[in-house]
Amino acid sequence: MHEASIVQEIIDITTEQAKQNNAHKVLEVEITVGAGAMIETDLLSGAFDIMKNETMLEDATLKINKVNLKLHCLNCGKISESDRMVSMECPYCHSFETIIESGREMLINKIIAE
Amino acid sequence: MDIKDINIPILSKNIKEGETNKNIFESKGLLTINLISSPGSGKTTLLENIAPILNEQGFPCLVIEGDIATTRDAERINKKEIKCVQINTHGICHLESKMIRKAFEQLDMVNEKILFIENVGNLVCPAEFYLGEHEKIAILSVTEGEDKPEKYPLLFKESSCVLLTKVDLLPFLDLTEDIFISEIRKLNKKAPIFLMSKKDKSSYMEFIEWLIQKHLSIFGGER
Repeated sequence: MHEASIVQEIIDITTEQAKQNNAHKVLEVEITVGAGAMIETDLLSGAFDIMKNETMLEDATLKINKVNLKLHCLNCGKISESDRMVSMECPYCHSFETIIESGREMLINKIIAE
Repeated sequence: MDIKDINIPILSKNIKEGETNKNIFESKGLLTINLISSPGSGKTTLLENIAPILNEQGFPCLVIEGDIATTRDAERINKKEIKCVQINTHGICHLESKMIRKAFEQLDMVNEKILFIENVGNLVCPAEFYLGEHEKIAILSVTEGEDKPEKYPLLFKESSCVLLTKVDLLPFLDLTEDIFISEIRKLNKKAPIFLMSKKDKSSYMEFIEWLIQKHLSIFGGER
């Protein structure tokens, strides 16, 4: 439910990067969102389309690459993957002694600008 | 043109602002605590009860209250003669580092040693935003049910301490302390779990001691 804050950061960081590269218009922003980042990507896209108005990103599209949440079980050693936020239970041995290996991240990977 | 492989964390600015906050807090000798829970779990009640005791023990407190609307929490804290400033987020579901710095600047700090940040009541979003705190603490009241840690695992997994509040109501629920503890332990093996109730002021003492020890371990000195 904090997608608007995330979009504002995307716009700010992208604008900064574009200006540093002497661009005046952003055409595309490519981001990665982990399944454990607690972000709803449909809401993120919706917020982006509203909030980009009157910025350098006005005509930009937001490309979202979703990555799975990877849980590493310290009990059985197996790694499980999920495309959504899950409880921390290992699906193989049902232990809760797990660590999140990846899938919490939210990154701006690439900007196409002119 | 393509600006490739930049891989900038989207929340990097908030983290950077949070680090600036932490430097400010440390330069002033302030242990900073980020309190996160559902609405109504007893965050404000906790502060109303522990701040006067911490003051008596030589660890006076400051409070930043975060709410979507109203100054009701700040009014409650001010009644206890504790310095407090209210942030109204007007719909935003969490606090961010910049809001904390602005609020902190409004506090007239003299000799306080602990800063409590009472986050917006919400088990999801506040866990995603670092504010510059030393410790993130999850609060769960027994009336919310024992399933909440597993449903909102990140907060409980990442908290350095869990407070179980309203334990005086357990006799009215078909639940025991042990059930809550084992549910929290599924996610977090290490964090101390403190059981408390406003009906029994002595139930706050262990948590108060934990806070004092945290302060001493970061800033040194004696009691």
